Amino acid sequence: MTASVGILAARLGVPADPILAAAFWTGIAALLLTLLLGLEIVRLRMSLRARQRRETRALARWRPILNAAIVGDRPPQLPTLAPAERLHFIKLWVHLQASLRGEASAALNDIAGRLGLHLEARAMLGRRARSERLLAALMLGHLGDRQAWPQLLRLAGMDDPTLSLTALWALVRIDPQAAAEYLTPLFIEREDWAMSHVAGILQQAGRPVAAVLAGMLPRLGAERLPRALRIAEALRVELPAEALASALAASEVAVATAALRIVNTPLLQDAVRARLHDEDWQVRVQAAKALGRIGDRSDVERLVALLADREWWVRYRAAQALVELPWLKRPDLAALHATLEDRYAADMLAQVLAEQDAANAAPDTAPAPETA
Amino acid sequence: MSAQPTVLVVEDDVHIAHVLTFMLERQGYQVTHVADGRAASAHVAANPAPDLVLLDVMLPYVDGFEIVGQIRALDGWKDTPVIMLTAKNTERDTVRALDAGANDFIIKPFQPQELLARLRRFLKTPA
Amino acid sequence: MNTHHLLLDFVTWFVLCYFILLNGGYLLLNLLSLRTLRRKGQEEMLDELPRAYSGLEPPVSILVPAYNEEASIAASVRSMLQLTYAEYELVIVNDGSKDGTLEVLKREFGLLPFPEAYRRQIPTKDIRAIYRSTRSPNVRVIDKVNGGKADSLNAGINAARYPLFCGVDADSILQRDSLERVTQPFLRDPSVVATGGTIRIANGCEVAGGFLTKVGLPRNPWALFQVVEYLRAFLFGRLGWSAVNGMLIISGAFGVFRKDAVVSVGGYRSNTIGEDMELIVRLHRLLRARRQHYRIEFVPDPVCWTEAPEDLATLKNQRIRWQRGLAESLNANWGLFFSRNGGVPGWLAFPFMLLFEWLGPLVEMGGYLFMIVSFLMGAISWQAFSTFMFVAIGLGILLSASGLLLEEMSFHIYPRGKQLLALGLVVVLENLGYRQLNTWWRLIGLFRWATQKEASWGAMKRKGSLGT
Repeated sequence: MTASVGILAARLGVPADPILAAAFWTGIAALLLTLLLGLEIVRLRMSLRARQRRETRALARWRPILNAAIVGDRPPQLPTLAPAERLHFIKLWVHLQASLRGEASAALNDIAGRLGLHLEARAMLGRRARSERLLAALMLGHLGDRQAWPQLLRLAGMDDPTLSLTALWALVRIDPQAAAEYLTPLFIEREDWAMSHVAGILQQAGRPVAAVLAGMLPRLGAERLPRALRIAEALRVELPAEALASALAASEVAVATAALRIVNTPLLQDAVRARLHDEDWQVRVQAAKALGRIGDRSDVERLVALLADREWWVRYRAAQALVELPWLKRPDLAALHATLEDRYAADMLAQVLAEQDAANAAPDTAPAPETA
Repeated sequence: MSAQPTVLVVEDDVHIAHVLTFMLERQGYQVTHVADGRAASAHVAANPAPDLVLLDVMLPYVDGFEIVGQIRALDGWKDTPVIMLTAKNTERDTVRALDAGANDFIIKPFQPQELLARLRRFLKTPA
Repeated sequence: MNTHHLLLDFVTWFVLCYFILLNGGYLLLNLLSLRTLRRKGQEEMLDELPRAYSGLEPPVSILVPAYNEEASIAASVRSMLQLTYAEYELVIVNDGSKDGTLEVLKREFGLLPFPEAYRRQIPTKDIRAIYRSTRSPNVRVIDKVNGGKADSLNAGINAARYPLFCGVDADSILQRDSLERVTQPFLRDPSVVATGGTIRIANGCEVAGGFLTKVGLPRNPWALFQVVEYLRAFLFGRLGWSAVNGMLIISGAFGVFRKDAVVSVGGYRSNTIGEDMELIVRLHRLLRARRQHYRIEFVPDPVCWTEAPEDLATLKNQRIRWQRGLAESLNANWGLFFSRNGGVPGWLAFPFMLLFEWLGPLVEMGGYLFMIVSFLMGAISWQAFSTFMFVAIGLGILLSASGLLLEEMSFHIYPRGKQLLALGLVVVLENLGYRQLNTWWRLIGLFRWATQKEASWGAMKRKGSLGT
């Protein structure tokens, strides 16, 4: 037996030396693998083509029906949705829903209901394919399907950020009030979720979230407070003055800066003034900005003093705050500039004045760039 | 002079473009669709003005604001009503749309019936 | 006599092992990248949905160093103004151009000098003036004394106003959603300090108004080889490293960084050729030493396109330059090598680079020469020689094929079947001379670095596709 293998091997040209033989077989393995890869590439391309063809056909069939429904022509009869068409249909449906609202949205929901897709979507949530779960979550969100709530809640708790955030978005759409109560503490907890995603999701539930936040603020510790305040800022919710007052006086830099960013009422002027000469430059920056929003005439002096601060950003924001004060017109500012003795202060005011001139000359004004 | 009002639709999203074309043709308007900023610039330069222009802000190659500028600079197109579809729902973009010379704007996600109503304000309804 | 044979055997064995390890290592990296790619493929569907900005994506300062770019700078800047991103600014750094770059910018964007208080966080050559555009409010131009690309980037960093900055080459061709895509990791994970985008070959593609309109394959054979080479080595290999947080290179053509992280390690180094790689290796070294939790990620989406050299001389100079850059980057950061808190970068990536990229050309070329000479002199048998060639080339082909497979699995950007066939052919041909030629050039680069010769930059003949 071994003899015949030996002869076969010799015929194939396998070297006798064991090292070389091992190398030879490695080479053969590489060759075979390459051929396999080649076949796989061809297979992938062919299935891609087939998928594209199926998609075009499905869209050609269903697009007119959806369009008719969107403009108010409820189609009396609907053809059956073939299983192969299902995902393409849902993709189109979700895409349209994301761009439309009102009656058109309701009409799309009606069609989905008639095709039984709400059931299909609930089933898709439980499948393993990630793309199907994402599509299903989006669909159920648009449908406002209360029954899918527990499943979506489970999805929201998963580690995968895209999946959980999409599920959360759907939860907010289905029931903003209930979602706000569940989500707001969750978003405050999960620091790793990007603010832009959080804000995008919570935008739908602005008022309920504001109420929940106002209730939670007094009880939050210093580590959670900054994030909660940032959420309030992102959603542009007005927090009551008493709630902010203690945050403004906090010794932790993160809390103070977050509170200063959203303070918007003259009632808290003194609290803001108290932070103007804080040790940390980030607090001073935000205090200067806040004073620009809520300050009165007595604050001009204070802001001018900050123009000579040792930190560039503090000087910059103080100058901007001065320029934005409504009762200081251009001649007043020019006169002010002339009286400045400190070279850094004068430079900074000149720069900000030039920026404002440039902005006023251009037809489309963009606000001055912000940092963190 | 045709009895049907003509509308130029400039929209790069293929699905929305289909919806818009469908909606408008059903109302009796004659629709020309252009899919990106460059083609829109070329079309504006080479064709007579339609009765209305429906223009998306976010377009490839040349954005909607620039197209409005080009439209307002041409004699034949100067008075053509332009409605812009703004996707970003920030105040900055809607102000920019009106400043650029658009007559009206619609924020996406939009209501088709509302869109048609705004269009009708600027168009004579077909006979 | 016996030791003679033993020596020959040992060297043969060593060379074979090296080639197997080299290709095997890259195959492993490609395998590691599979998981990330699979996830990307599924998220692809979500990208197509219309996105409403909540205005909270981190603002980015795009830094564009420009030296003698008068032919294409206006088109590049205009294309960058079209990026779909909520808030960003463009800072163009005119690095003391001798041609009309600044004049073109002044004319096309209505530049006016701006009395800006400039902060020198990183030392650079002198700034002559700062301009702001009256037509596009988020465009600024910094005119400075010539100091090289690294120096220009540092000047841009000093002037940048936002927490993230994006380094691009003036001739990088981007897509409208490139900035969105390459900043995604920052949104997902606040500990990310740098991300790099994939660089693809623009030769043979249709470019209009600074944007890619149609993907195509180049006709030029050198460019074709490079297409496959990029897929084999620069794409999925980097994604594999990124998956284990051991990525040591982010191309200067397109990358996004956290400004304060870069300033904290001292900015770009100006007296080095491969400043893009050197910064990343230094980031790893210093952040590891500080025990700071960080990630450096790679975004595999095709986001940046660049014209590859189509003639032998330019290509050769480019590869020599790259090897020198690699050597300098590693040499400047020995502290990372097997360092105490080095983690994957210090214990896997750096040694890998050292052994297979830095030393690689020496062993590879040495191996080929040894085998050929030994065979011709009759010291080793035909069997040994042919086996060696079989393994070396066979493994190379396997590696190139795996790159093509991953491309087809993930982005399949070449739509026509004929293109795929052409690429398949190139996969084989690439290993029958191009790869070896590359090794030879890298060997020259290594030699030049070792002897510190001043190689000339070698101006690349540009096709001017951005001007159309």
